[in-house]
Amino acid sequence: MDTGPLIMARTLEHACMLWLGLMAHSLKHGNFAIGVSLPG
Amino acid sequence: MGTISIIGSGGMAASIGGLAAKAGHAVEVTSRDAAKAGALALEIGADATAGGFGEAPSGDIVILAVPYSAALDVVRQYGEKLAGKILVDITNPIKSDLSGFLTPPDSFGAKEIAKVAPANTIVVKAFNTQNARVLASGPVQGHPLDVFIAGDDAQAKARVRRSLRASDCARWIPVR
Ligand SMILES: NC(=O)c1ccc[n+]([C@@H]2O[C@H](COP(=O)([O-])OP(=O)(O)OC[C@H]3O[C@@H](n4cnc5c(N)ncnc54)[C@H](OP(=O)(O)O)[C@@H]3O)[C@@H](O)[C@H]2O)c1
Repeated sequence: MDTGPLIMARTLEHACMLWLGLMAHSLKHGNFAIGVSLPG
Repeated sequence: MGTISIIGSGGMAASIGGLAAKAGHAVEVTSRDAAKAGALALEIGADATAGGFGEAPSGDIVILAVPYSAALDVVRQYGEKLAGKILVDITNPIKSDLSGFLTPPDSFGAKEIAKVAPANTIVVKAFNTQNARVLASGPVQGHPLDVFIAGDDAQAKARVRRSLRASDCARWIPVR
């Protein structure tokens, strides 16, 4: 899905942060496989 | 169908490489650990090959499948060998404690990667919001997965989409 020019990559990177934050909050444990370790 | 080159041999390299091979592309895997590249090429099958790390990728589309913390150095190391290529940035430049981004406040990962790549390398952001295992496991109840793509060059984006998306290979490729 085309989201627009390269500056939209910033939004996609922020979207991942949001997703990881929500996961960390809801799961409360880490090592989620999206290339970033979550705090315990 | 052209060749897709992948730098890295981890989870995302395996998922994207597998999808590309199933879509009928030749896949070249390169890794700083040649044995891992060879093993992943075998795992992908479909005559996937292992290329030399730091050598000119054989594909016009190059997937940068290393952590962001390594990405800038890796791109610098490849240097002019990435000239004229479409470089697909899949990284998430996020601190491991989730306290913020690894990029300067006024920038973002894809921009920093574009800065260190040759001037005529086209950087396209894609796949960073999609989990490796979800990507590899294909359509969910028949529905294709959404992979978000961003980039300044419409033709390059179209090529990335075409190379990995449904149309001609709906059975295998969940990307729309
Ligand atoms: N996993 C996901 O679900 C997911 C989803 C979206 C985006 N991503 C992004 O995709 C990228 C790859 O993630 P991944 O899950 O595939 O990671 P991974 O399984 O840890 O694999 C990382 C790869 O990068 C290589 N690498 C690490 N440091 C390097 C360096 N300094 N120089 C050269 N190569 C280096 C590793 O080589 P060695 O094996 O030799 O260490 C390995 O081949 C990351 O940027 C991540 O943020 C991941």
